[in-house]
Amino acid sequence: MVFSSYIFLFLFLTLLLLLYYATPQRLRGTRNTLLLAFSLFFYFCGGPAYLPLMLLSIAINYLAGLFCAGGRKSVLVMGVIANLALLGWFKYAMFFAENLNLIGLPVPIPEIVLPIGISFFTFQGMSYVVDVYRGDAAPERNPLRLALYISLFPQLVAGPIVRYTTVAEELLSRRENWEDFSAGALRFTFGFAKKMLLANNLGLMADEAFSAGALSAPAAWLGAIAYTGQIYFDFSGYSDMAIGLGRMFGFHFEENFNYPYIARSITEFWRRWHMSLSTWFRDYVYIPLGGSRCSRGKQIRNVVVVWLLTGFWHGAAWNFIFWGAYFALLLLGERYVWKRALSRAPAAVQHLYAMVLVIFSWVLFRCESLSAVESYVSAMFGFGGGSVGQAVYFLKQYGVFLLIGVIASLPVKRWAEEALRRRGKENLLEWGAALLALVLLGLSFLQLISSTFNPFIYFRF
Amino acid sequence: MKRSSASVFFVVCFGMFLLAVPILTLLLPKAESSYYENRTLAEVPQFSAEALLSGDYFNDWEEWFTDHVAFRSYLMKAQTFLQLKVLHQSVVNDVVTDSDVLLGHHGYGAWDTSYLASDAEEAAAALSNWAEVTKENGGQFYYVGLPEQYAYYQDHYPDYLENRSWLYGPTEEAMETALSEVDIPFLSLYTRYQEAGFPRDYYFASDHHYTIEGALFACREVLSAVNERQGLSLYIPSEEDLTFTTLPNPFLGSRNRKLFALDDKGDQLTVAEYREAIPFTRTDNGEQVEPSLLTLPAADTETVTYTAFMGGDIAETVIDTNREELPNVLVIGESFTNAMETLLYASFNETRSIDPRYYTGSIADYIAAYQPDVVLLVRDNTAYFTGVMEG
Repeated sequence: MVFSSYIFLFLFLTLLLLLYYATPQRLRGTRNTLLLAFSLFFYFCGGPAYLPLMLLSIAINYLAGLFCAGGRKSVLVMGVIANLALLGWFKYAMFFAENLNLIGLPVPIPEIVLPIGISFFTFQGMSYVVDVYRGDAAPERNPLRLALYISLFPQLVAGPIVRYTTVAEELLSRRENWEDFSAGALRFTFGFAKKMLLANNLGLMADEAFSAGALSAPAAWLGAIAYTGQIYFDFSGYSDMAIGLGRMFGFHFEENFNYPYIARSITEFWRRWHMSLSTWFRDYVYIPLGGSRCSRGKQIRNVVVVWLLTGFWHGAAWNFIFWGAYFALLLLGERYVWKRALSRAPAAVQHLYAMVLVIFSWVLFRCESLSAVESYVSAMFGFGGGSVGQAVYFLKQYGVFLLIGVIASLPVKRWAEEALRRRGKENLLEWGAALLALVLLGLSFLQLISSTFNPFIYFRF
Repeated sequence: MKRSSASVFFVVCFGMFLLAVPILTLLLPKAESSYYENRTLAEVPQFSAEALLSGDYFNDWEEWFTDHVAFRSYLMKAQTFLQLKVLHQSVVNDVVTDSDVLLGHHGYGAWDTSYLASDAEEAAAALSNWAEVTKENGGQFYYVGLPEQYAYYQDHYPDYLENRSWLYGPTEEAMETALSEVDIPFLSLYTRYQEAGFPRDYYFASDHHYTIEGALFACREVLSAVNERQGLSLYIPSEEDLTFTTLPNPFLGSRNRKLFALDDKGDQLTVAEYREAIPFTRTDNGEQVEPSLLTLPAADTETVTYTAFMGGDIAETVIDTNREELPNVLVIGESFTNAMETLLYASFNETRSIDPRYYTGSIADYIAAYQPDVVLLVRDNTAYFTGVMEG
C-alpha cells in the first residue's frame, strides 16, 4: 500500500483517524494498540507473506534489547548478526549467488521477492539494539510498544529511519493536539502534491529518456535532470507525508531533507539528502570505525567502507556499489584534494559543480546495468544518436514541471515565510499555505484519478 | 499552525475530502463500463485465501476503487482539459495534439528495419492455408493493406516528434515480397494513397480510420486489381454514382474519445449511398436484420462515431443482392472493412464479412463452405505482423 493510493487515503487513513480520535486521549495504550494493528495491516496489504518476517524482526530486536542492556556485547553481536542475516538473505542472497555463478562457482540462485521496507525497518531495529547497548536508550519492556516503533506505518516502508530515542518518550506519553494535527495534515498534503504532481510527471519524462533507443545529448541531459527531480520529489514527498502523518498522530520525526539541490559541494549535499540514513551510517558505522579521529589511511578506509555500504544498502546490484564508490571518491577528493580550490570558486561555480556531479550520480543510480550507464553517459556527451527534436518534445511536454521543480527545490517556502513575517503578515502566510495546499490536493487527486503511473522509487529499498 | 481560522478551514476541508470521496463512491450508482476509455470497469474483487496471501486481493480493491471513484469520468475529463487547454501538452493520453490532426504517439526508438523481412515471411506463411483453401474452391485470395491514420498523416507530425516515416515504405516492400513468395497478391493501399498525395479528406483528423472518401478510393483500387488479376468486370463505383451526406451530429473519433471529446478537429461524419438503390437482404450472425448499411443516430444532436458504418464490428454479416450472375466476395478484417463494405456490396452478388476478433469458427472451413470467388483479407499496417486474431 502506498500513501498515494485510494485504499490508503480513503479507507485506511480515514478509518484510522476516526477510530484513533474517537478513543479518549487518556487511553494511550488503546490508541497505541490501534496504531499497531493498523500498521501491521498496512504491511500485510503490501506483502502478506512477509508479515511473519517483520514480526520475527520485532521479536529479535525486542529480545536483543532486553538482554543487551548493561553492555552485554555478545547479545549485541547476536542481535546485529540476526538483523543482518535477515537483510542479507532477503535482499542480497540472489546478488551473491548470481555473482558466484559468474566467477564459476555454481550455487543455486534463490528466488526471493524483496520484502517491502526491509532495509528501513532492519536499520531501525539495529539502531534500537545498539542504542540500548550503549546506554543511550532504556530497553523497552513492553513488546507492543517496540512493535509499534518498528512497524509504525508512516515510516515503515520508505523512511525516514526513525531512531528509537527520537520517539521513545512519545510512544509512552504524547499529547496529540490541534497544532500538530493541522500542521501534519498540511505537511502530508504538500508531500502528496510533490509526489503526484512533480515526481510522477518528471518520472514520465525520465522514463521516456532512459528507455529511448537513441538519445540526443540535450535530451539525455534533460532526462537526467528530470530523474534528478523525480527522485528528490518522490523521496522527499514521501518523507513529508511520513513526517506529516506522524504529527497527525502526535509523533515528531526528524527531518530527512534540507533542500539538497542548493548544496555547493558533495559534502554539503549529503548533509542535506536522506539525512536519517547519513546520520545512521555516521553514528553506527563511521564513528565506531574511528571516524576522522584517526590516521589519514584509516580515515580514507572509513569513508570508503561507509559509502560502499551506503551504495549497497540502496540495492543489490553493481551499479549501486559503483554509485557508493563514486560518492566516496568525490567526498575524499573534497576533503583532501580540491577543498581549497572549490571554496575559492564563485558560488555559482560551486553550485554547478555539485549539481553536475549529483546528476551523474543519479544516472548511475537509475540505470539497471553498467552497460546502460555507459550508453546513457555516452548519450550525454553526444554519442547517443537521436534527434534534437527529442529535447524540444521534452520541454514542450514537461517543461512546466521542470520549471516548477526547479523552483520547488529552492527554499522558496522559507523565503516567503521570512518575508511575510517581516511585514507582520502571518495571517496571509497561514491562509496562503492552507489555500495552496487545498488547490494542490485537488490537482493531486485529479492526477491520482487519471494516472496509473504511480510507483514509489524508495519502495524497493 | 495554531488553531487559527486558516488551520480550521484547512482541516475541515481535508477531513471532508477524506470522508466525502469514499462515502460518495460507495453510495453513487456504479457504471459497468467507461465510455471514453472504451473498456469494462473492474468488478468487485472475489475473496479467496490465495488472493489474500498473494496481495492480489488488495490490489484488486485498489483497481476497483480506481475504476469506480465518484465522478471519475468528470474528473478525468477535467484532468485532460488541464493538460490539453491549460498546459498545452504535445501529447495527452497518448494522443499527439500539437497538429491539425490527432495522431498516435510513438516513443523515440532506433531506426531498425532489420526485423521486417522475417516478420513479413512469418505473417505470410501463416496465411498460405487460407489462400490454398480459397484456390482449391475456385477463388482468389488477396491481402489488402491499409495505412492506419498515423501512417497516413505521417507528415502532419510536428518536427520534434517521431513519425516513423522511415518504417512504412520498407514495411510495404517486405509484405509485398513475402506475400508474393506464397502467391498471395498484396494490394498496398499505402502506396496508392501515397501516389495520390495522401489527400486530406480521405482520413479522419480525430479518428484512426479512413473517411467514406478514403474508403471509396480503397474500394476502387481493390476492385480494379481484382478485375485485372481474375479477368472479371466487376462494377467500380465512382463519386458520381453516390450521394454523399454529411451528418450534422457531433462526431466522436477514436482519438478524440481518448481526449474525452475535447478536441474534434472539426471532423464530421459523411456517409454515401448509391443513387440507384440496389435491393439486398442482410443477415448478422445468422439472423436476418433490417436491410441497412448505416446505423445513424435518431436525433441530430446525438454523437455519431465510425460505428455508423455497418453498425460497428460484427462477427459475421451477409449482404445478399440476389444477383446470381455476379461473383461472391468474402471480406475478412476488422473495423476498416466496415466503411468499405457499404460500397463494395454493389459489385457482388453476395458479400460476406467476417471479423476474426469475434467470429469463433474456423475461417478456412468458412471459405471451404461458401466458396467465395474473391477473398479479401483487409488489415491496417499496425496489424501486419500481429497475426490474425481469431475469436
